[in-house]
This record gives sequence, structure tokens and C-alpha cells, in this order.
Amino acid sequence: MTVRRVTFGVLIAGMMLAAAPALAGPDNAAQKFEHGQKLLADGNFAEALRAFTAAAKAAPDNEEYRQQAALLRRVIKMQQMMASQEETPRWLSMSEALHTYYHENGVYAEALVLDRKVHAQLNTGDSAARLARSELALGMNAEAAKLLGDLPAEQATPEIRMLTGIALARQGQTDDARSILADCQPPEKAGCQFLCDRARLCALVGDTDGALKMLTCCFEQCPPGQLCGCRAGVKRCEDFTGLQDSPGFAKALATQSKVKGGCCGGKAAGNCDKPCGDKGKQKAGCKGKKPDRPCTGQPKQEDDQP
Amino acid sequence: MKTTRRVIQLAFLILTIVSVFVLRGDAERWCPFGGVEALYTYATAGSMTCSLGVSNFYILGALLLLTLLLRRAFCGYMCPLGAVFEGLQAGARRLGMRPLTVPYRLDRALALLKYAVLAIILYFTWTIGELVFRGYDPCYALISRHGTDITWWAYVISGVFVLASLLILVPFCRWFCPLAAVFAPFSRLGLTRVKRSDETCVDCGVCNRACPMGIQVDKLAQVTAARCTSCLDCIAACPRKDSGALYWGPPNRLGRRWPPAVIVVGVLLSVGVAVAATYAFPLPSFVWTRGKPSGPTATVQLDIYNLTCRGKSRTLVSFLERDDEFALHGHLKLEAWPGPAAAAAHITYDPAQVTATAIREAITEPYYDADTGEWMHSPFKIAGYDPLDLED
Repeated sequence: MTVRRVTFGVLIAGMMLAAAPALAGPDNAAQKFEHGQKLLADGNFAEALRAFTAAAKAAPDNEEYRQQAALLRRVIKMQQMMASQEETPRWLSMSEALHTYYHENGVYAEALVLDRKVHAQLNTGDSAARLARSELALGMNAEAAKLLGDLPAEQATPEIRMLTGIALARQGQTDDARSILADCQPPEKAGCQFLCDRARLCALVGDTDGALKMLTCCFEQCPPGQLCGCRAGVKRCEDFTGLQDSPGFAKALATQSKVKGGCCGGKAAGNCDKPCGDKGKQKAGCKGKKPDRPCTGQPKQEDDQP
Repeated sequence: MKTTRRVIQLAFLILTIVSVFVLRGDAERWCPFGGVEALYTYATAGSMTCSLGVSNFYILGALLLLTLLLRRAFCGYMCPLGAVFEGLQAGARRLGMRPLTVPYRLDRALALLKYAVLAIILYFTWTIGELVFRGYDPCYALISRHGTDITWWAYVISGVFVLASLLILVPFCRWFCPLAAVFAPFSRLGLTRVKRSDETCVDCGVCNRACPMGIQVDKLAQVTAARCTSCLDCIAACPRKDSGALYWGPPNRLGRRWPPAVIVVGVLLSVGVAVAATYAFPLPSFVWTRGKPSGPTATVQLDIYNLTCRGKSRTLVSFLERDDEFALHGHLKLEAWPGPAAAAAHITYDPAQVTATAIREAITEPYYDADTGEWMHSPFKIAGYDPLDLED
């Protein structure tokens, strides 16, 4: 009887020991990945890369960890190359790529520094808009409003007017924001970004129906490969906080893209387990598992930066 | 002969099940009907419909030749679905369930349905470029390990045919199989056939009852019906076969009797030829070229993971054509064999402008698409290349 108990106990212990790495692995990898995301948000790129790489090693089957590590490695190299890049067009295209990465990963402080350099060099409406987005993401509403307000009239594109309205609405200047909303109607082929900005502005001035209508249009215009990222960004955007209890918000979020897409080789055939974009590429972060950051809206209170 | 046929059928069925469920291979790459579906895209675009490969062409070609020689011997000896349905029918007989007799005219009318099935499948597959009926295909339900796009309809349809097979002789094979429709014109021209001797036949009708395809053997001097599968069950059942009432062989003018072992050899040869052709002459499923070589070229052979279909092949091309710091200049040629696990890709390049390392980087490094403003991950991993040093 004692022998049986001892044997049984050894067996159980052995099974637990054997299962421990398997049980610890995924959790351990997830912890490392989450730690990497926090480091990245703080602008600590080197340590974040180490964390992502460690997560990818701990969970070799997890594509997302490997891809995020590869992307961050690429971004770090790009940052180093930018420092010595003398060709302006190349420098600008790198800055655009880095700006996109910073905003998708909530590294707004780095985005602000970069966008200030770009705007100082170019001083165009587009560079101002990009800088304003970074300022708005960091809650620098007054600075964004001043930057956009100081632009010459000919540079006041619909995008810039929407961003101006958002900056004003956040500062409580609702009447001015409403007049921008009324004056600036969506262009005929408004892009996804413009529609999302307009939805934010509608939400900030209290036009719930308008916000939901714009959100629906935004998702309908969004290419299928970008839809999940767009949806995730809207869910996290603080400007839409007032809408989240609205019955139409969930319905708007569920809107499907009307843009033709899918794998050019056949969307249901093959071994594709996720929809591809128009060029068949996999958008970074399309699983929607981004760090807990709004991609276009106001950050959470604890992340306010001076 | 009947036992030999059953053994061959069982062997192919076991081979299919082991390949799909034990070795977890991609049985679709050996489906002859896949070759039919891929013909249009390969002829017009030089690449295959997703999940298919040149092995489909080779097996289709080998089986068409087999059909010209031995009629629908594939159906009678190799098809796993046919083996399942015939096995169910045999089991039903043992339980005392006799199959329903379908009136001849009705049987002939229903046999036309398979041409409609073929036309519909090919129309949508060829015009859309997708295997749109894959999710409803009872054969795919058997070999897909519950594939990604299988629908519950496939199991319903399979269930209907399983039940029907208990009551009627192989209804799917007789009336609905699109591959049978493809084989029909070749089978009609089949070199060999069952022949009946008026002198020794006693018109007992046993051959009719034995024929799984409902052919009225006792009314024919030679069975040249397209639906004949050369199963030779009619000969096996004939009480006067030793007197030559029924025998099998080439057309009368040759005046010789051929042993059924020819069928067995024919079946095995066709499979052997298809397998040999696939591995000895592996034509790439996807070919893309940019520019012309201006001098000597070099080729790098890579095993790439996630290069599973034509769509992914085009993704690979877009990474090879990237315009950032990993851009590849000069002549490039990609020959790919998309497939599950590690797919082969041969990339020919100008060594004066590009290196093999640069090609690996171009394929695997994330890419910023300035047109769409998006970062794109590369879905590809190259065997033996680990830029992140993840493998210890």
C-alpha cells in the first residue's frame, strides 16, 4: 500500500514537472510581451526589443510575438539610419514610417519629437497635421489648436479643420467646434481617416447621431485588411467615451467594410487563416491585440505628458 | 477478380486515410478533379488555384490515359469515395437489405445530373478563381481533416449519400460525381471492354444484377458504356464465364482474351507515372519574372514557410519588389512550389547587384507601404535563416 502511494505520488510529481514548462511557457511569454509593450510605450526601445525577443523565444508558435520583435528591430535600425540620412526624400519617408509606428504603438512622446523636426523642415499643412495628431494624442490641445490656427488659409485642408475642431472641442470651445463641423462637410470621396476624425468631433460636440453615422461610413470605407485595427482604435479612443453606452455604438462597430478585398489567390481556398489586404500582405497588428492605447484619441489620464 | 478489386480498393482507401490522418499530408494535391479545376488558371495566368499543385495535373493526365485504356478503372479500383460507398452497399446486403432497382430510363435521366454538377462547379471555379464548392464537397469532407472552409453542408451531403448508398447502388458515382463526367468521353473510347458471347450466354440476367452501374450487360455484345468501371463484377457473377459467356479484353478484331491482371498493372502504372512525374519533373506552380538578365545570374534555393498558395506567392513578389532600403535591383525570377509546411522557391538574381542575404532580408523584413500608410509584416520564414536568433 505504501509502495503504491509512493509510486502514485512520484508519478503525479513527474507529470507536474513535465507539464510545468508547457504551462509556464505561454504565460511567461505573454508576461514578457506585455512587459515589452510597456517598455515600448515608455520609449525604451532597446529593452522592449529584448522583451519581445524573449517572448518570441518562449512561445515560438506565436507569430505575433515574432512579428512584433522583427518590426521593432526594423524600427530601431530605421531610427539609427535616419540620424545619418542626408537624402531628404528618404528621410521624410522614414519619418512617415516611424510616425505611423509610434502612433500605432502609443509612443507619442517619440512621435512628438519626430513630428516637430519634420514640421520644422517642411512647414506644410501635412506636416502640421501630423504634428497636431501627436499633440492631441498627448493631450496638448491648446498647442495643437494654436499650431493649426496659425496655418495660412490655403493650407486649411478638411483634415486640418477637423483636427482644429477636435482641439477646440476638448478645450470646451464647443460653439467654435460646431461651426467647423457645419462649415466643413465631408468631401465626396472622404477617406477613412477624415471620417474617423469627423466622428470624433461629432462625439465631442454631443452630436451622437452624426458620430455614429460617420463611424459607420468610416468602417464601410476601410479596406478589409485595416478594419480590425481601425475598430480597435475606435474602441480605445477617449473621444468616443460618451458614445459607448449608446445603443447604436455597438451596431456601428459591427459595420463591415464595403471595399473589395481578400486574397488575390482565392479568399476561401488555400491555407489562409486570415484575410489578406489588396496586395495579399498581412497588416501589422491586424489581430487587434495592440497595447492598451488609443491610436488617435486622447490618452488616458495617467499617461499625460507635459 | 472481385476479391482482387476489393483488395486494391481497400489499399487505396487505407493509403488515403493514412496520408491524410496519420502523415497529415495534403491529399488535395493528388486529387484528379483538382487538375480539372486548375486548368483554366494555369492556362491563363501560369499559376495554380490555391491549394492545388502540378501534381494534380500529372495525376489527371495519368488517369485520363488509364481511362482511355481501361475505362473508369479509377472509379472501380482507386477512388476512396467509391470504395466507401461500395463497402456500405456490401454491408447492407449482408444485413439483408437488397438495393432498390432503379428503372433504366430513370437511371439514364439521373446520370445526366453529373454533367450539370460539373458545369456549375467549373463555371464558378474558372470565373472566380476559387474552389467555391470545396466547402460542400463530400470528398473534401473525407480528406480535409475538417478543413478551414468546410461547411456543415459537406457533412449533410456526405450523410445523404451514405444513407442513399445503403438503398441504391453507388448513387453518387452514377449520378452526381463531376469527375465521372470528365472521364465519360474518354471512357466511351476505352480500348478494353467486357464482351458477351451469344452462343454461350444463357440470358440469366445475373450480370445485370451484379453491375454496380446499372448496365444491362445481357443485352449487349460489348459493354462500351462510358459508365463501365471495368470492375468485372459481371464476369465474376456469370455462371457461364468458364464457357466464355462473358470475358474482358480489347475490341473483337484483335480476337484475344486478356487477363484481368492487365487492369491491376494499368492502375498501378498510372499512379507510378504520376508520382514519378511529380517528383522527377516538378514544374513550378508559380513563376514571376522582372526584367532581363544583363549578365551572369545566380540562383538561391529557399525553403519558405507560409508560402501556401497563389495569393501568398503574390505577397512574396510584393516583398521582392519592395522599394525601401531592402530593395532588390536588377533582374529577378521567382519559381515557387507553394504548399503546406516549407515550400520550395528558387530565386534567380543578378549577383552584381544583389546578394543571397539581401534576398532573404527582403523577404522577411517588415515593410512600410507608403501608399497605404501601413506597416506590413512578412508572413514568411525561411528555413535556416533566423535574423532574430530565436532558435538556440
